Amino acid sequence: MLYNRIHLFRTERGLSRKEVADLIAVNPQTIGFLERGDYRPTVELAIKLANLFGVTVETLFSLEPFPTLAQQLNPKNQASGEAE
Amino acid sequence: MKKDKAGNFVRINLGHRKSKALSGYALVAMHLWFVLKLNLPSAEGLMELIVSLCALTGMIASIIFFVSTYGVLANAPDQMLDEREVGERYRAYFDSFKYLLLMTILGGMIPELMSKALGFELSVGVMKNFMLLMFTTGLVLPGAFLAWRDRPVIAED
Repeated sequence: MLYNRIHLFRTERGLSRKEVADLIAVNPQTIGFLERGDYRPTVELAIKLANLFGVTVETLFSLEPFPTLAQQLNPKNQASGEAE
Repeated sequence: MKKDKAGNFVRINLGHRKSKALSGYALVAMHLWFVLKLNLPSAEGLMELIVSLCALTGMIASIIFFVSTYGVLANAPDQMLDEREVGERYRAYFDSFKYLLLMTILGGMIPELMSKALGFELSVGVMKNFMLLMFTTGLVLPGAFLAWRDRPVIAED
């Protein structure tokens, strides 16, 4: 499973799926597939997305689940989450 | 499909559900025609009419589907598609290839068994019918896989 933060960065920048798709020349459906984790992008597409949002590929994609906001704000939650 | 180049292709725009229905009908009608025709080598009357209608409507549906959205998508140049669409198309063609290969093997055995079981002789006409079935199936199947696997665009959450 490849986890990503595309939805987070997209909504943060106020972009629709279609706008993101147009900017990187893909079908808007592909953005939906990526956000849901139903499609693993190639390195080329991953770099295009990272460049679009101005972040590194590692910030946008991860093999491990990204910590939730609650886990990030409260280290205790993160520790208990890891213990489980 | 990438929108900037998609406009260059003349096609019949069909929605997702209509494409699924049309491709499903084309495949079922042509297979039904072949099987029924096999059992009725020299039939006349109502049954012959039904079998002929299956073939006629099945062929028309196959041709319409071939020049509609998913048929064009299955035959579009790679430059028109994004990487996910190209990947899905490869998968659709690979699955079609496996089906056609299986049908080619079975097509040589099943009519033989049926002819022995039902007591009729296989003719050149049966092989011609089989070739037509394989042709229309090959025409429709990759696009049909794409249509049935595609997910309609859902509203953004």
